[in-house]
Amino acid sequence: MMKTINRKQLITLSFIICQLSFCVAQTSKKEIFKDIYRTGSNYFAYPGPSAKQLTKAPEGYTPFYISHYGRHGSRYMSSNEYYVTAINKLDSAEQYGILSAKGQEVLAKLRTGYADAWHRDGDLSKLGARQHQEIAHRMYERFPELLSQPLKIDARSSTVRRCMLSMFNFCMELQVLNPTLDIAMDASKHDWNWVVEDLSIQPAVTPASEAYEQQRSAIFEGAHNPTRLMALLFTDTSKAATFINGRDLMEALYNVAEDLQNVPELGIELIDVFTKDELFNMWTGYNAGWLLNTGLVPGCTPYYEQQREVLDSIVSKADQVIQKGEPTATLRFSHDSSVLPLAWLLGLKEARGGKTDIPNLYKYISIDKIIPMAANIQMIFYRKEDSDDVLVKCLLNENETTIPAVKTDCAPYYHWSDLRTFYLTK
Amino acid sequence: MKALKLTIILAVAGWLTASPMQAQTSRAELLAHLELATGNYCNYPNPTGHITPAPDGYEPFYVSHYGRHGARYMTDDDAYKYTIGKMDTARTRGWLTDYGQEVLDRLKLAADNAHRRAGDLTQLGGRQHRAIAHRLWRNYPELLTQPVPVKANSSTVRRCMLSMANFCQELKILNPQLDITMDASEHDMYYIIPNDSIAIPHSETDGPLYEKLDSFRHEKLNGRHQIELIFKDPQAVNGWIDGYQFADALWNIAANMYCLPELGWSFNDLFTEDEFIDGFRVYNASWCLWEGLMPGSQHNYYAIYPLLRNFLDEADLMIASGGRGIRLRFGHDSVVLPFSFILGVKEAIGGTDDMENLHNYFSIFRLIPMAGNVQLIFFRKQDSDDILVKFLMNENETSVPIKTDRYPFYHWKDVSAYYRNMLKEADIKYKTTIQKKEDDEDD
Repeated sequence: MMKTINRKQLITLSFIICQLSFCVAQTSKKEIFKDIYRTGSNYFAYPGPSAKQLTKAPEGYTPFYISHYGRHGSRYMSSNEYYVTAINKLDSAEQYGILSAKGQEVLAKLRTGYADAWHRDGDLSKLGARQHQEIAHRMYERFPELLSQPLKIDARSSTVRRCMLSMFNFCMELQVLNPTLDIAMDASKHDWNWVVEDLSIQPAVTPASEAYEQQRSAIFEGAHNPTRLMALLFTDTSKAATFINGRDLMEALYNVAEDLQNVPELGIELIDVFTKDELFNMWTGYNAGWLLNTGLVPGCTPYYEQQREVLDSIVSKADQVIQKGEPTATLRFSHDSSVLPLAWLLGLKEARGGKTDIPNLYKYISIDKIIPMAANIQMIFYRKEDSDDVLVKCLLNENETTIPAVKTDCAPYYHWSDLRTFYLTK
Repeated sequence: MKALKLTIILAVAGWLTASPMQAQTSRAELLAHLELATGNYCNYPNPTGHITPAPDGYEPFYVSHYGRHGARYMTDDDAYKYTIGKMDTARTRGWLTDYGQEVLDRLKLAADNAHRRAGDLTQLGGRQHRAIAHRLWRNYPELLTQPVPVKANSSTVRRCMLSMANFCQELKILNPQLDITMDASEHDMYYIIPNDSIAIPHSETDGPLYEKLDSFRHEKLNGRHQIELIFKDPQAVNGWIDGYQFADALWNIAANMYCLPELGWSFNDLFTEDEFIDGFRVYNASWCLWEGLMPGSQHNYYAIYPLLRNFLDEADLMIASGGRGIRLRFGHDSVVLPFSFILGVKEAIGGTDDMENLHNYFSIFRLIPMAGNVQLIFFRKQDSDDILVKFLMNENETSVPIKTDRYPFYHWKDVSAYYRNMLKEADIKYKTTIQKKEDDEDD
């Protein structure tokens, strides 16, 4: 009684499956507790792809173009102010004789961390360099048909140093694997509209945004309740309260503790000064902040429009490559604030589905899955001999993903003509 | 006997090459190679290729390198703004000659190409660094084909970082076993760029030298010829346009075109050969004074002493470790020039305040062309403590004012003692210390 499924039904079926898998993208507290460093949100060190095997391309299709868009790898905090705040306060407490044994242990760790971070604000860490070498390595191993050819590759970076160094490490690894690659690297203001979001575009602020922001602020401030932390660090909390703003100290220690995962060679951990619940609560505030500031919640200001020009350049470059027919790769290196809106504009399931239920926003979109350090979106283009059909597969952080708003009969592959229409008209 | 004879010959040769007189630059040389007259815009001249074999049994084990970024765009667009601004106004008022109109169109094309690229590395700049890396690998295969660590630090300026990336990329192609780390961080700027915390000793004669330089610049780059070519009535624009500023801007634009050969554009037609060379003489004298290399000038090269200390300390560590490695640093002309002077390499020590004739003794194209660099190559011999070092200025063997019986090789113990003593005598003071003292006095 096997009934033959026609193409139209197949598309509908795939669409339903996509919608179903879209629901799976939800994030639970249990999942976060399993790897507590996820609460670092955009400080989360790149976890690597979860799936080892990728879905084979339909028969006869081979990759001929990769469009890669990546965030810089693990970095130091962009400002050492958090170290300064925390050290100053704990140092004063020590002089007053009210620093607990735990507080002294924390202060010693802070001093070591700060000495290492001194004059390294925003710099790529050693781990950040390795992350990019490894991503390049896997890219080569996954698409050898394309990357073992003597390609001309264009690599462009944001003009920020950590992005440039990420590009250097990525390209150096590719070059080792295939010395015949001809890679041109650049980082120029000239190419900004190719690589980074345009902050001069300021979409009109929507009325809903303000209400959402009030909710987010309440979540964020509510999460920064320092009572337990103060009692842990100081032997006399009332004395401590006379010169320490507990909320600010908590914020500073959260940032330091989370960023330390990006300099593992120090062997310092501070995450244990917080309970898992505290970390989780602070994280939900940061998560909501990122989503609202990017415009991923229905009704809020569409800041993702600042990244529209980059999307256009990705589409037009792909069109040029398709037309020219010469296999190649385009590599762009940028920031979390660029990858997140791009993921939304590309329609990736992990970035879509934001709800107006701000306290539970993390259940629908969780930024540790989208913009960890070294986050990236790879679009792999395939073609078939004697056919004009071009298929595209999108990888978010090297995992296959889907684009729920676009129908396809060969998920996770999409017909470029359908994607293109979606990108240029929606 | 034969060996002794060779030693004597080498020693004499060393003494001869140590003399700055050898660094002479004649007008004939500049006329034959006008590109050299672009001074610090000069395309990196290919090295002679002469490499003296290391004495028997000695093998290279360490390279310590400081290189300027490769060819770049001008660091700002002031030259385009001034010339195009003035000429555009003149065009609307009908003051431009036909030739002037054509020059303006050409300037606009060049400015358009440079738009938002101020200070960026050009394609040629990338190639220069790849070529230098390639020759390093070719010239010292005993070291460069090994799986050695390569530590690279760059100035935080993008063109230097991209120079580093190109250099390292080339090395990695040639030897994938190299373990290369690259960084560009404020953390390392105290030795990679001029250290502005260092107090520079005051010089009474510095001011008058700047006055002399100012007259020299205005006399040589007076702009009379360019104004005659471009404006129908040179008298009418007198006072409205600054001849010196105009000529200086045009000379910089013309010189910068040598960094962008792919465009195939030139502005040399705005200058006679002598005028173009005059532009070189102006910048040659300027650099000599700016960096404190001119007798009587303020010793601005004090700001480079931390780099010298870095070279010495890291070399000592490497020697003590018994290991092998490559140490790369990427920065600016404002470091390569004073650093080569501190080292005393023969090309850098001929400064004189006779600005008319300075180029006969001192020429910046030998020192700070685009991608200009200083390399120290270290050699050792099994079962011997003797370490030899060779100094290369833009990859050509050069001399330093230290006695040696093995020119162009020097004994590291002599070299180290000489420079450590130099650092001791310099008695470096940091501004913060001095500032604090003054503050205390105020209290």
